[in-house]
Amino acid sequence: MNYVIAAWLACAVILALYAARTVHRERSLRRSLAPKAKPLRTGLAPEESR
Amino acid sequence: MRNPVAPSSSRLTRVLGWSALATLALNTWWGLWLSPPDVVQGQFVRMLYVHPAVATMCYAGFGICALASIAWLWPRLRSPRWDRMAVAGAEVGAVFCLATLVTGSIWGRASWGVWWTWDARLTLTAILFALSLGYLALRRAIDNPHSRALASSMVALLMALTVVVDHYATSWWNTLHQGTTLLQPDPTIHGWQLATMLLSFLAFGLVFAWMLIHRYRLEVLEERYDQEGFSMALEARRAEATGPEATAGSVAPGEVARPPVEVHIR
Repeated sequence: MNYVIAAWLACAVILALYAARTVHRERSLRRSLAPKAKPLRTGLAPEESR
Repeated sequence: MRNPVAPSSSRLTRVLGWSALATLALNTWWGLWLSPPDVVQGQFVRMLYVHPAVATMCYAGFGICALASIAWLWPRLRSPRWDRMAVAGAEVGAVFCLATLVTGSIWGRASWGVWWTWDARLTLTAILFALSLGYLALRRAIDNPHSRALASSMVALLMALTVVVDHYATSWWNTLHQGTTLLQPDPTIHGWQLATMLLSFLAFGLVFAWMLIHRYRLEVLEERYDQEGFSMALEARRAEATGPEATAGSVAPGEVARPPVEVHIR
């Protein structure tokens, strides 16, 4: 029975690791591609805009 | 355009993911508890509810890779979508191929007393795994998208040929590996064993579909990152160059820095 458990666990570990890696890569890429917040362009110098 | 910060799951993948988990849980219950031990193989028959399904998904991955590659090679159908689908199929197929080799090796140790033997089926599966790694390495080595897709399509066709030979290896040669269990007029298993085996195909099929969709999306994002990442880096560099330091640096010693002249174009 130990071999049976080992085979099931090995399969589960391989598939779970790959699934986790794929989701992690996908999330980090989405985060990298997210538009960065930029300061508003008022056309005025910082002193004048106060 | 779709918001790139949106979560990685969609309605389809959520449904697929939860269905896969539910069927996998049911498969584990049936396979490890409900299904009876075999007369010949005893408890080792429980590996039948993992290994054949995983091996079939490995073949499916490489089959999808080959079909998508043929579609890409066909001039009227050529589209980057097929190339993305091909790489998704190859990578997911490679993962299932690794799982097939590992579970098969454990089953071999339990049944034959050895972890590995140079049997036709086993050797061809190992060759298939090596080919899939070669396919993925080749894609990383070539930068030009057209050359990359063309070269990897050739390897995909070779993998498909290996899949066919691997499948028929047990009929063509005298091998240690057992022959087909389900694909024959009178299957050698019945009742709970048959039901559990069919359930394992469904469970791993759902896992395969979930992985394939996510891997395809990842390819889309990587392509977008390659395109946008360069322009974003360029923009950041320009912003740095036109910053206050750059302006101060452009003024000659002794000269007074003047404000930029405003030009109005009517």
